[in-house]
Amino acid sequence: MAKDPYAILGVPRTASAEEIKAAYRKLAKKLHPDLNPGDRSAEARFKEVSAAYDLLSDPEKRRRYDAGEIDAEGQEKPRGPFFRDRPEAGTFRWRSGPRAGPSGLEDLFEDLFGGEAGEVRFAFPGEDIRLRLTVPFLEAVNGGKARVTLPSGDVIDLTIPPGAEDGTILRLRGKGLPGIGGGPPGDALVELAVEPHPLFRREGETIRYDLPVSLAEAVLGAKVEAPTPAGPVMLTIPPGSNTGTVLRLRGRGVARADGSRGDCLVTLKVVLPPKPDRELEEFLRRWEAGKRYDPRAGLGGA
Amino acid sequence: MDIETFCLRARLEIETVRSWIEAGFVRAELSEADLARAALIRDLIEDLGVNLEGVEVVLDLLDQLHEARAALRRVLAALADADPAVRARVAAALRDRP
Repeated sequence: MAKDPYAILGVPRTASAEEIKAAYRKLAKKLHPDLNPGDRSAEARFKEVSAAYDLLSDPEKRRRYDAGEIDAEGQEKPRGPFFRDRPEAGTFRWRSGPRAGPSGLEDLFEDLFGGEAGEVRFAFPGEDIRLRLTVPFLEAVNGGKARVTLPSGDVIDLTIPPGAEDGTILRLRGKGLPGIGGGPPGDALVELAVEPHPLFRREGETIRYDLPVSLAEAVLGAKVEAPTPAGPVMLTIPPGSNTGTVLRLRGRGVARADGSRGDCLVTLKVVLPPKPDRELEEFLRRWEAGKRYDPRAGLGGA
Repeated sequence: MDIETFCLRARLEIETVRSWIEAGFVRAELSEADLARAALIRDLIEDLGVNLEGVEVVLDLLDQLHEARAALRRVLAALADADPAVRARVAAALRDRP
């Protein structure tokens, strides 16, 4: 269970939207990873704070959280990639304009070399390397395994955590460049690029898609098989359903770390047979109630 | 990458990205590094309330910081390859100058 988002932002449960925004800004200014290039812990703390803000800044999510309908987990949008993690970050000052010196540190370097001898080991960690890994949609939603080849030639079997999002960065400790002077090796940062799915769309931990149903199934109700990321289920279409009717398949959406799942929301789409049916045409010609119904009443616009 | 992909991944409007290229915040080549940089600028504006003038200052200082870190890394790498006695002298000198 994630921590209380109010506690993370340090605001009372009665805080106004403005107070929440101010508290978030104050923390984000201190914790944004790109403003803390040397502090590895900043990323985790920033993500925690921004997840709390994502939840509390959305009035609907905040209401549902306060009502206990959703917990604090799995609500955040992906953060990053962060500029500081790019190997090019140190060579990015390509913009024109006057500048006093190339790095502003050259003067310090001269001072580095001087002083007396002593037996001290000089070690520092190797640099991190970055990789991008394309992950099929369902493997990201359900979790899975993937194999990555590192620049060193090492092949690593990677576990994709359930519910992984586009932009998620997996850190492989010690798989980066070797350390120098006996220092520890850097890490390999694997950024996940999640492929789109032809049917499913993802919104946080909810999966949405359109399910075609026949006119008879919509009007009279039916039991039909509906695909979900967790496998197909029998879906009961209530009588009198319509295009746009949304049915919730609880616990059939994006997998969470604790093994539970978000929901799958199915939007029905009534589809007529491809060829006009004589019997249907005859019926509609004499269907008085149907002729009186104006679906465009109150539409507005031009 | 093309600008459509870039905007999709950075969660930004095309007009915004065009103006940032114009302002020199990101490069027209739109590499992965530019994407990460655009995400930072987006965070600065949307989350931290920094205005465009402030973004320019932040980027300039960050670029200097990253250059300095890269330069320091080169020094450390050179030191690591140096004679142990040199390293010891450097370490001692650093200790003496807090």
